[in-house]
Amino acid sequence: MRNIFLFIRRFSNFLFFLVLQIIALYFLFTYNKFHQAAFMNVAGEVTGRVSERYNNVEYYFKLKQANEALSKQNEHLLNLLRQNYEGADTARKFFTDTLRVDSLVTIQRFKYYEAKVVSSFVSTQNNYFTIHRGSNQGLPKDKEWGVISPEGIAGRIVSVGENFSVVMSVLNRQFKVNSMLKKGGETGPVSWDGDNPHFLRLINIPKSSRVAKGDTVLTSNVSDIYPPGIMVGTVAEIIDDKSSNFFTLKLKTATNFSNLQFVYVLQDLQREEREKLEDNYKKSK
Amino acid sequence: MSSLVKNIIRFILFILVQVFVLHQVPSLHKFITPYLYYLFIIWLPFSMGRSALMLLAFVFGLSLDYFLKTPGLHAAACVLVAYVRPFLINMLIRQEGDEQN
Repeated sequence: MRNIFLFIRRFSNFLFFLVLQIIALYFLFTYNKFHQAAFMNVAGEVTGRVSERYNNVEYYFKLKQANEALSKQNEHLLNLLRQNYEGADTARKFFTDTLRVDSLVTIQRFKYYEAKVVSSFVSTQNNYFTIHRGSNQGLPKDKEWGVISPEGIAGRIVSVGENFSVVMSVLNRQFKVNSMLKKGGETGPVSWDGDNPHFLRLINIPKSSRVAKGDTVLTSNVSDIYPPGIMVGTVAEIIDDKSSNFFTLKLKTATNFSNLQFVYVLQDLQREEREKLEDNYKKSK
Repeated sequence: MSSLVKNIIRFILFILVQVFVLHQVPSLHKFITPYLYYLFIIWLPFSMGRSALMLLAFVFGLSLDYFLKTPGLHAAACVLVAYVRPFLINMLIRQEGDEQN
């Protein structure tokens, strides 16, 4: 017994060092797996407030790009309005579909929330950004919601705090989204290789597809957090690997992550039903 | 200025510089992000006890981690720097030279 105490006293520094290392590594690995770290929500509030102060200054320098992106998105949306469409033939009439919100069953699937980006960086291989909207502003907790920018996809929420939320950027090596070529409809997963923040990688596009440089890539129908048809990027380079039957495409990102100022959070209103169904199936299997 | 106040200011300054300046810089040679924050630990007073030093380094690293959303990564590195620091100081500073100062 005495020897044990002597041992502990003699190596107390080393043991303390080991304890702190184990705590630190435990935090790291649990966060990487489940995106839940000790005190992350509380700390997120504090770091969010500090980042917001900084962003108040930074915002002025990025106003120009933020405005351009928003007005481009406005242009796109205005072009979809019904009153823009008019044929010479008056017998042809246009109706707005009234089925969008039924009083008994809501068929709306995605609900949009706007949010201000308060801090972001693209300099590491696992990038996150913080947005100023949390559970107090109506964002439901405990689920991964998709996040898009005015120009295209931006990421997905990993942790919702009271006033701030943490978003995993598309520029994160753990991020994956299923997407498709707009022209042919071939689908494949898009991910980031951690190299250049302007380019993503789309794999598993069969060589039979007629893909060309500059083609648009959109989110596909099977993506779990985005509606189909959200911009992902454009094809910048087609990498033809002779040893496989698939192309690897290098995509230019639609979103400019270095001056991201406004984003939209997408709440999937029908997710619970879908998840319940899928869970049942998994269990019965 | 007392050593305590000086080190508190350094603590805050190093975190802010690391988060809002060095992490905003585009990576050098694509992958390298400059890290200067560990200077805080190296510049702490030599008279500090080793356990206190490691504990402070852990808190410093963890608060940086919460800004960068990598809880534990920099904390682990900081604790290692704090643990190794006394050995390095013993190696680099001649004992008699230390006494003269």
